[in-house]
Amino acid sequence: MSGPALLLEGVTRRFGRKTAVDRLDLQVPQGVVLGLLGRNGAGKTTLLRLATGVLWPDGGRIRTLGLDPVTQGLQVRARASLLAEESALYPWMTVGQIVSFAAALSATWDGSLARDLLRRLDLDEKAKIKTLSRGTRAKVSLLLAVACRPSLLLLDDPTSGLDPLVRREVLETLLETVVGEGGSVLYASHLIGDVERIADRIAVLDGGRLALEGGLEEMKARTARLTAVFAESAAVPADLPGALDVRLEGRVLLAVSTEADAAEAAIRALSPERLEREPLPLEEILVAQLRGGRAEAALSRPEEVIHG
Amino acid sequence: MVKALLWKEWRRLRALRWSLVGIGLALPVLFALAAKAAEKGWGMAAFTGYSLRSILLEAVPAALGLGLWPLAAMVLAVQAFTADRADGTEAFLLDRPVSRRWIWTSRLLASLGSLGVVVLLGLGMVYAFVASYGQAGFSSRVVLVSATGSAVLMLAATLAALGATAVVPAPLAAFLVALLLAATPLLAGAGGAVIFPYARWEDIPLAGLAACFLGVAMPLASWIGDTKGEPAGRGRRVRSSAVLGGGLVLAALGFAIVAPFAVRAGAPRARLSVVPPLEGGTTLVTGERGYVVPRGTAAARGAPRVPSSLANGPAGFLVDLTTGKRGAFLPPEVQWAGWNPSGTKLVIMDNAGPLGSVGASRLRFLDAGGRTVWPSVPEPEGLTVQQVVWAGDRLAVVYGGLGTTITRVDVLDPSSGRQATVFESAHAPFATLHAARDGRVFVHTVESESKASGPVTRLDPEHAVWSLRPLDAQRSRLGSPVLEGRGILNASLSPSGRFWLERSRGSSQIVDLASGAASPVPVQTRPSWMPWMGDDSLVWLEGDASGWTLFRMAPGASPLPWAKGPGRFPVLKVSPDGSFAAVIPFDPQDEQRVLLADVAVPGSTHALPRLVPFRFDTIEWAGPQTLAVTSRGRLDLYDVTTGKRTVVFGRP
Repeated sequence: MSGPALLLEGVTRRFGRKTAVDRLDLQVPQGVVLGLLGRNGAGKTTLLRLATGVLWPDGGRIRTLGLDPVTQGLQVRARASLLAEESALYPWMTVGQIVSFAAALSATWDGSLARDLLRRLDLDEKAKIKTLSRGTRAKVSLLLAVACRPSLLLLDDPTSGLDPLVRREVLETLLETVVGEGGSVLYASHLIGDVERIADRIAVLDGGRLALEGGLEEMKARTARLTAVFAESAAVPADLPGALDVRLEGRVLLAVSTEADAAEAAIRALSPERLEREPLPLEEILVAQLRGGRAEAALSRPEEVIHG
Repeated sequence: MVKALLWKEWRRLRALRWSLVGIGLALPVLFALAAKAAEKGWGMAAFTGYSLRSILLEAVPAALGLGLWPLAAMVLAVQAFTADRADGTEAFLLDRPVSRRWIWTSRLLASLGSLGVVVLLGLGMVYAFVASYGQAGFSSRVVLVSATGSAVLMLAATLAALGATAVVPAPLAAFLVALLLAATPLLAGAGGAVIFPYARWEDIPLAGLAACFLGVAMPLASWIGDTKGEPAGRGRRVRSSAVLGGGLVLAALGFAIVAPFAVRAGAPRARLSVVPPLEGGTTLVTGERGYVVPRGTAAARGAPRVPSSLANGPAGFLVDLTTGKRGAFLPPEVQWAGWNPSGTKLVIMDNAGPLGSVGASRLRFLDAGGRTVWPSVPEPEGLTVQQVVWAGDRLAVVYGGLGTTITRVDVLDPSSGRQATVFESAHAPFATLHAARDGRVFVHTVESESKASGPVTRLDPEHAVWSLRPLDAQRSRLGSPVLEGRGILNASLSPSGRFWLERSRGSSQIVDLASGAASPVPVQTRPSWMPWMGDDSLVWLEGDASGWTLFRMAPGASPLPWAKGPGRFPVLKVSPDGSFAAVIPFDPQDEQRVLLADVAVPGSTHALPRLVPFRFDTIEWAGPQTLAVTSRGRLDLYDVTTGKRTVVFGRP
């Protein structure tokens, strides 16, 4: 397959009067980990279920691994694996039983990987699901999602509510077993730190629409905060390249730009007494981006977008 | 994959399965304890008098087969189809490459398999009881019927559960809805029996049978709801409800289409009666109202009829006497019918509603082809038609009060619908119309002497007076009494309208209405039936141990023996125009043949060939020279002058 692992073109999905996904265009290239951020109700889970064909769109076109998930749902789900926040695990089964059951349902199940993960994740095969902690259930879900060797892994906040150690364990396993094998991942989460750790690209959903999308490293490299101190009070420069946020506090000019090099040159031309450039963490980039007017709805509550 | 799905569904039902097995195994203990408690007088009155043997061999199998197992079928199917949704694990399978058809199938197989385990272990327990205590004494037929009934109940419960879970996701609610759906055929049958009493198939309400077709819609609704459309379930309930609703509509539509045929097809299975015309080529065959004869049966041999509301109904159909072809069908209930003297018009009293329902009673006026001639006339409020007689081109109608003792006689002009009351009394519980061949009608009323005491509720023969008055139908007037007397008598008018036969307990006499002269009718026994022949002579049968004698007597003359025969007391029936008297063997199995006496050939009688080789209900006159041989589902006509036999319906 040469196209993107996931392609959505003008996809809309409604639940009654509420539009969960609204004319959404998005691509997940092959071999890429796309971090999908957004508030509760932004449409992340809906997007993931649309991608597997469990939900059907009201409009638009979806191609998952080149297949139409509406008409080829079984083939899609044979190659794309969805790991949900609160995975539906049969509470009356033991870990061993649910692993065997999932294995029987998948033609691409990797038994040795499953055994390896059981050991690495320290899962007791004889333990009943209903007796497991939330973190351990998340590990079981992760095992079930990755042991079938999916070409596309769709993750819906798999580490939400887990302690840092388990989160790290889960993420490392993901990176090794899927990303390491060239698979694609669409990782929806509230946790920017986790996303930053493994994502190649970022997409932000707001109100069912795409608010922001781009390469993570590129975004980080291009975006910087510039602090210039002038001898006298200065005017805010007009048309500062890539300006997301520009503020003047007396003789100090504070600017965040997605074209940091050009912006720095423009400010330097104004002969500041001092000019400092500092890189921004992803969280601040996103806040600045959203404040910069790309997503008006998100601007009002940028913290929620990021921290959920 | 299929094996894994089956394992999962089977394993999920494990707790419920063994709980149901446990309840089944505990039933004998519970019943025995209840019987013991009843024996000790600790309540449980329902269990009084049960021995341990009857509990183990009768009560337990019945409770299992008709109670626990159908309930288990429903609970298991509901659990299989709702558990995943109820505990939020439905997504596990939906998110995986698993065919929803296999999920559905494995759930059904798991619930049926679990039911099989519950039933087999229960049967094993019952078998152990039989091995220990011997047979219960049921016939194999009873066992077979019970087993079939239990299987049908289990099937119905499973199908209802499928239908319910298709529209209701919550287990308890689905179970309650399933109970309702399972009872649908029963409820529809009960409702249908009330609303459409004549829409039946083999005495089973057709509405109930139609509702059984929902049994097809229920699994279809489940299948379409669970395996079609979006996997997450959007539109599932709408799809399933549409299928169930469609099934309901189809069942209703099927009922509406089939009901008229069922009403028509059921009519010949009733015990038949014939309303013959005096002249003309068409006769009316109806069912006998309010009676049903058990099939196969002894009724034809004279066993008492069983009153029942389940009769196929007194529908009617017109039959061409020459060809034997059935003409117009008159849906039930045909409550009263009478031909005009020329046999060209027919008045019927019916309350037929659409699709075998019962509507308002009204008089209808038809021609010999069954076509409506004049608009129908509804029955007056609070009155019911008791007798209708043609009086020329008018009709005389006797009405009786519903819940009152009012008797009313009206003259009705059918062409205009105008009615005029000629007689009304709260003191005359009886009024009878007697028509002469020339269209004249006499009204015979019996009233209580004690009119001052208010309406008569019970007529005392000692204080009853009667009168016979001519009716002037054209002027709607009742004339002065031509005869009067005391007591209650059985009377009839001769075909010419000249002679009046009075029969009371002590004696019988013929009165000449023209002269008032009376002549006694000397009878040795008391014949129950003394009809008039067309020439105003009386005929009757008298009999003793050696056989019977047919007497004939012209008014004022002495009775003459007309024919004799051996055997049990036969039935005498005179043709509608009085040309022939037929002596019909009482017992249909009797080898005696019908003896025919022709009024035009005095002293001559001859035996007809054996009319039918089958058991018949009755032989009646269907026309002036045609006999009808009736039985359930069979009607033959026999022309006594030509000897031609025609099968109207039924196998020849």
